[in-house]
Amino acid sequence: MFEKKFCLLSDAPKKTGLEVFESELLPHIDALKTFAFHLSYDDDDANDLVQETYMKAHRFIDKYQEGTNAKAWLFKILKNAYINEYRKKSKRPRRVDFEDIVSYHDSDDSKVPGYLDLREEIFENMMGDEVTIAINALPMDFRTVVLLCDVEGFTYEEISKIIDVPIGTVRSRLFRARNMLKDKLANYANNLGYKDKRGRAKKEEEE
Amino acid sequence: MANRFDDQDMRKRVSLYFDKALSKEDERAFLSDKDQDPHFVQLFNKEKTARDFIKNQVKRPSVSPDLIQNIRNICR
Repeated sequence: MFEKKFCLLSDAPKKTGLEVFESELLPHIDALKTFAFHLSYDDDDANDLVQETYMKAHRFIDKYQEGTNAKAWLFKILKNAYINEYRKKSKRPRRVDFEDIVSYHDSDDSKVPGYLDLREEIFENMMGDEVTIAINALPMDFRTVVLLCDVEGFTYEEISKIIDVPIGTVRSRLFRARNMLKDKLANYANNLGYKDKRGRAKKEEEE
Repeated sequence: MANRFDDQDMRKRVSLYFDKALSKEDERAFLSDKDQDPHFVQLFNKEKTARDFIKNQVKRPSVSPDLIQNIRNICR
């Protein structure tokens, strides 16, 4: 019975490029559109980026191994297309010099009691727009890692390959990007009338 | 000071868990430790809430049928 099944599997016809395209690549179009939108801030530009991504994927379909990580491959193509396109148009992505902000974001909020209480209140009372606005306000390098990890669920290794940086850089960018995101969402929370308990907690501890 | 260190360690492990960055063995240890400590469970649930919120609330613009058809036309 096992041998019969094995024979059937090995006799299965290989998918054509078009079949691979339809079954393994096209299903990721929604995720690609979301990523493209948050890179470009524009629906039309996002559509162009997605279309260009699929054109390139189709052109290089022979380089894609059936059954492997299509989503990561497509995201890498899109990320490179975005960089190339927007450099050409002189709409240079707002890049951040990582080292310039190390000192600003070196503080570890997890050391301060009460931090998570603030976050829980934020998420219980906030509309979704604040999340999108906060993410889109991040510098591109940090926005990218948040989108890839927190929105799309890629692992550090996958992100490292998509954006072509070491895994250590992915981790440190994520840490700092999340700190920036927390700050922005905390500002929204303050505007909603919630007090930042982090300062008060620290003061009480010092007393 | 010891409590704060443990708290920091918990937060780091929670973050690594949700980033799928723990080995199978570390993940098993994490889940076992978490279930034995109510504070750990609280941290875990709050981080999950935050992550789910971001993932579910971020704007996801729709893909028009025209875009899909254009892509299919170009790639045939």
